[in-house]
Amino acid sequence: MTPRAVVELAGPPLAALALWFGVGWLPPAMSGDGERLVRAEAERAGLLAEVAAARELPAAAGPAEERLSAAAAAVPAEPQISEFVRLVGQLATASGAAVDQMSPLTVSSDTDAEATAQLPPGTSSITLSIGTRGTYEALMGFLDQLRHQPRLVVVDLIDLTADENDAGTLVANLEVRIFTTAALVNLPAPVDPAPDAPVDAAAGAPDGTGGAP
Amino acid sequence: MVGVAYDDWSLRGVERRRPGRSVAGRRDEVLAAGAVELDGGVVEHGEIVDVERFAAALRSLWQQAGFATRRVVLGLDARAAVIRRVELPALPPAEMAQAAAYDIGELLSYPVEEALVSAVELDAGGRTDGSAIQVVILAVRQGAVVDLGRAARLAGLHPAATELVPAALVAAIGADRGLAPGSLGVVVELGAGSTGVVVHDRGGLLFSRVITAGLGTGAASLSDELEMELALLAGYAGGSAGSAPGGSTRVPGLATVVEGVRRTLHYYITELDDRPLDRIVLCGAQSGVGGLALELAETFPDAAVLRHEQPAWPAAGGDPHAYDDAASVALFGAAGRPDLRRFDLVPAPERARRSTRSRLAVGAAVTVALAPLLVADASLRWAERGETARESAVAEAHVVDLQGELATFQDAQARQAEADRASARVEALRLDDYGLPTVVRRMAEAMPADTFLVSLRVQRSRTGEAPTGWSGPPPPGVFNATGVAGSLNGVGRWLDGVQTLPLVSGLWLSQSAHGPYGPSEQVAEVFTVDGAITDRAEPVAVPPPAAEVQAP
Repeated sequence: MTPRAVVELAGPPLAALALWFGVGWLPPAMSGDGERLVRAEAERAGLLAEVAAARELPAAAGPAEERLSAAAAAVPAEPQISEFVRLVGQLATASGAAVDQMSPLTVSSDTDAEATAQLPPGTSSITLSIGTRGTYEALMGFLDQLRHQPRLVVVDLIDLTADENDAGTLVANLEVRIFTTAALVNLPAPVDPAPDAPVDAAAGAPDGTGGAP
Repeated sequence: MVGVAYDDWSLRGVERRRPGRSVAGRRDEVLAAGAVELDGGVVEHGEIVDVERFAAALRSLWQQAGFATRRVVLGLDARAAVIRRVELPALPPAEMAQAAAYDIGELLSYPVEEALVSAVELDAGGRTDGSAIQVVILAVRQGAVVDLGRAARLAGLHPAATELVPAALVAAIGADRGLAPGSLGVVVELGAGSTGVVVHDRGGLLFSRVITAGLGTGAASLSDELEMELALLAGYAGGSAGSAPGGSTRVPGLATVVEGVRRTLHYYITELDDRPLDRIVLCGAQSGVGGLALELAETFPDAAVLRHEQPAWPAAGGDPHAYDDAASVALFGAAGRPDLRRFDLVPAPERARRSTRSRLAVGAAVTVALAPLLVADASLRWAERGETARESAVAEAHVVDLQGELATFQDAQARQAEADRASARVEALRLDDYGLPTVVRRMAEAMPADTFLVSLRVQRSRTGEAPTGWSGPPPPGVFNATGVAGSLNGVGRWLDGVQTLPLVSGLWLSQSAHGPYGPSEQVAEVFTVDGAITDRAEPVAVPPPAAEVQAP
């Protein structure tokens, strides 16, 4: 059989096959949809496993946002000394006690070897001195409220002395610590309030450095 | 279908209705017939010399006869062909063709390479043994067939086939019907200027000869050529040229024609085939000449002499016997005879064209057969592609959803971890709170009625700070109290009360003095006590119960 005969005989079928190859076979084969599907299935399988594993994780202790909110209230990200001064004034007034003076004493960080107590990582403490007076019940009520409000306050010193000039009145010098997650370096020197000056809850150092009215 | 036959002087055509399967025995209807004269020099000795003029004659024939179709079967004049019956060994078809060409080549007046050679095996009296077969070989100058087809196409016709006129005659006029087995049949076509003698075996062509003598005008006397032929044949027939048996002279040339037929058949029977003659069928324009049948019957007393019956003929068609050859060509070419083996008169170029068409047809058929499969396959592939694309899109969308869900989980876990750290920080700080106000309250509550405290200092102990008389590691806290009691007994009760507190230890009465106290100078016991605070005054706050992380 001559080449021409081969062409005549096989030409049309080959042309049809070429058409089929070019139109019917090649585009679907080269579309990449199969590879896309394989990739997507593999990725989906992996993600399903990860999601299943995530669902199997032990349950956390309480809703995260509430716990974070409570923790942030107890140990705020900023010193918030002015807010604390107002709070002290409000609690004292509510308890029937009077605040004579209040001033920051020391600042400690978690890396401070001289700190009163070892602090958790990323925590700083501010020690404040508070001078108050009032009846025993007023002072104890003040201390209770001070320790049971959202911000964490640790009382390190209570020095009660009877007021010699006013029977039934006690003078209390307190040292308390409040905490913050801010990295504190140095605070301004303590400012002593005027003796017997009432603390204005609304007046505090707006810059959070503490102080007396 | 129109059948066309020609000789050197005229061109004839007959249009027949397409017949059924069998040709023999059918009186198929003739639709039209016509004839035109050919000028000299158009056809010579059965071969077309001037193709253009022959084509013009064909066009004239179509105009004159008014044929309704342009499909034509071309009848090749017997004089253009050389026929020989030989015995050949049984060979494959290709080798058989070569052997046939070699065998008949010596009879041709032109190179055998220019011949179109076709061999037909005889089924009757064929194989004499297992190694030899009887074949009839036909040789035609290929140019004659090509020119005939070219002339037809020039005339705007569509040649369907080319048939040898003698073969068409014996097949179409039913000369083989009723032929006795083992005998021979003869068809004698009587024209105006020539007489054809055809020997057949039940329709299979065995021998053909054209005698250049007829019963028409100008053929009354023997031509020089015929004289020479008859002289040659005389040697086989044992007679002398021109001595017609019977001595009939009623029709000019009759004796000559009868003598030519007699000598031709005598030659054939004597030299080539000794089977008896069973039947002689007369056809052609001059087949009705009076005395002809009788003369032949007397010459061949063992054979029946018949005249061919004409099919239904149109009223204005002229003498139907004048068209016997063309009508036979039309019928044979159109219907064929499946029971007869035909000579293959397809020239090489046409054969190549037909082969090309055949191969293209096969290729097209394969393509057509293949096309549905390919289309179906392609459709499936496209459908699968669409389905795959949809599945991919769904899977990718699911992946995006899962990524979002996982990110939400991870965010929630990160927030939980952050909350855990923050809570742990707060709890660690709470552990450092020893509840000093509660210590103060407990100490106050332990105070007897006649005793009161003047001062009380409770503090978290500094590094190394310890109450008086304390041994061991420094306690978490220390206290110092100064009180006034009505008596030492009151001091003792207070100490007893404080000592029972679980968080207080190491009480040390550092001073107790009896004397006046206060503005009223009332005599009392003023005492000072140191001590250590060893434990928390309040339980550590228990963390809130765990709550599950809510899935987003």
